[in-house]
Amino acid sequence: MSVLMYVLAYALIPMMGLSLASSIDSRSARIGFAFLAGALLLTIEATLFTMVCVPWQLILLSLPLVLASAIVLWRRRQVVWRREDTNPVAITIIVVAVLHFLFSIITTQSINPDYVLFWGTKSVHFAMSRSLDACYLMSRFAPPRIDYPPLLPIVQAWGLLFSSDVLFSAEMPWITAAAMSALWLAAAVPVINWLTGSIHATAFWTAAMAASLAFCGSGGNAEAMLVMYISVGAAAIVAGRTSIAAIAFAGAMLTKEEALVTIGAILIGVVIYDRGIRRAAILAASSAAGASLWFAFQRRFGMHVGYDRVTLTHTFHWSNLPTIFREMPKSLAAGCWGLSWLIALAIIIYIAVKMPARLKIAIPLLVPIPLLFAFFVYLYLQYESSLAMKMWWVLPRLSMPALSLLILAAAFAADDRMRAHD
Amino acid sequence: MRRVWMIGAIIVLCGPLVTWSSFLRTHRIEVPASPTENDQPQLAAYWRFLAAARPLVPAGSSYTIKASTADDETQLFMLSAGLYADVTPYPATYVWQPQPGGGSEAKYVLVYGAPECPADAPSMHIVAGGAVCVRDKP
Repeated sequence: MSVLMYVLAYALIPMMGLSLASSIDSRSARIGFAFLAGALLLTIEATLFTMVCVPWQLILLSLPLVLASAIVLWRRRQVVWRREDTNPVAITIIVVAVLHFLFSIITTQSINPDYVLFWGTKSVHFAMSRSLDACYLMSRFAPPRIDYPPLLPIVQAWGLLFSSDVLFSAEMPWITAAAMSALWLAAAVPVINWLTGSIHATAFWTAAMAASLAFCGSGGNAEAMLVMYISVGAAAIVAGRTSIAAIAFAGAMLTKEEALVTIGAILIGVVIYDRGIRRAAILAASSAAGASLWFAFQRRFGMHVGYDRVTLTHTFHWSNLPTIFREMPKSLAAGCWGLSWLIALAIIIYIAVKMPARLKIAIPLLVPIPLLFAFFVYLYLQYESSLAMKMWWVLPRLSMPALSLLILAAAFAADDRMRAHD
Repeated sequence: MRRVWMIGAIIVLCGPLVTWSSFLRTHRIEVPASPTENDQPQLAAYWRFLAAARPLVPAGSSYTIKASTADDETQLFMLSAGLYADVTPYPATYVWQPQPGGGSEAKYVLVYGAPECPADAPSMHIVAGGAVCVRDKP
């Protein structure tokens, strides 16, 4: 029963985010984006509640957001819904891919150790204390990574809070909570389909992401959320939906600090494409707003303000270069011997040769890829020991946003949008 | 291009297909005993022990963890923080460093591995993977 309640709690999240998804004229994309936006709004609200010392209550957390959604939807109730492409082969591929990720988690092949070591632990403590428990984060026996942003533990805590309030029992359904990572992929799929306008490219993107997420052990940690926010944000930039991108990037910044580097690289691409800084400034402001909320919380409770994760020594070990280039291809296997990279790259090269003008639209997605890999090399040149092992641990996860950007770039450049949408 | 995307997606899904065929050949489908059962066997063993001991440690009490190595004690303590969130921790080892007092303030001593209780916690309950020892006067 607690498992069912936990799942039901997640099913309510789109109702909290519909207010930010009302401009979307596809039913499935609207629900998918409402889930991503609902998680962001819940995080903002829960963090602010703790900052003003209001304990989390089910009704108190959900009612304002659900009411806001209802008001916005009532005001915009006249919608001409876009016809959805229902190619059965593409939909079958999408379903199989999502189920692959889901069952990889349920069978505990893809649950990340960090989930049981600190992500899930934080969630349980937050739900029990009904707050973003600063006392626990600063306690003598604090969990690792107290500087990580709070979106994932808050959303996981929401599930526990909901099931414990409804059933009067507070046991974390650990595997179910980890399996919710697959829901983030499922939520992003219709949004990516809506933004790219190609169910076929979306099917490929879903297959590649599911294979990679399962391969990297992304069950229960923040990887799936981060990649989905970044992917939706990046695709929204190319599709000209700046407000959607701004919301997604704020979500990414509250999910994991790696978002800082990826979003920074994407914004460079946006500046190059736009030949101006207006859009980049809007997106930078929304990203900064997301991070600022977490930093304000840290400041409010006397924690160290900022991210601690990346320790740069600025001492370069050039002897690391051969190891970096030898180990990198192995870490880009992405659960399919690197074929997702190679196929997307082949499509980009084909378009570059046959229809180079089409690549222009994908500049905001293409520019960040070499920048991200340059950053990885810059980072790994500073490692003093166990480089190969550390790369194998980290690079498969770190490279997922770059893989997603490459596929999305190919999708937009291929321009095989559904005719009826144009 | 649409066919290319579809064929590409099917090729990509061959990776998961190989993973699943290998997994199903070597594993039985059953409800996992821990969240890391098939991926991190050592963490799974820690988890099973902590989960087995949990019903013996009441909410609001206190616990410490003893194991043969500092690494075991560190990882067991990190895992226990989620399962024993309503119990006060007094780790014997925290982040690989022995703690002052060695967890002597705790009422319940979770002993991982060989079920041998400390002298001051003679009351022993054997559980899978170790024992739970209870101090009369923590």
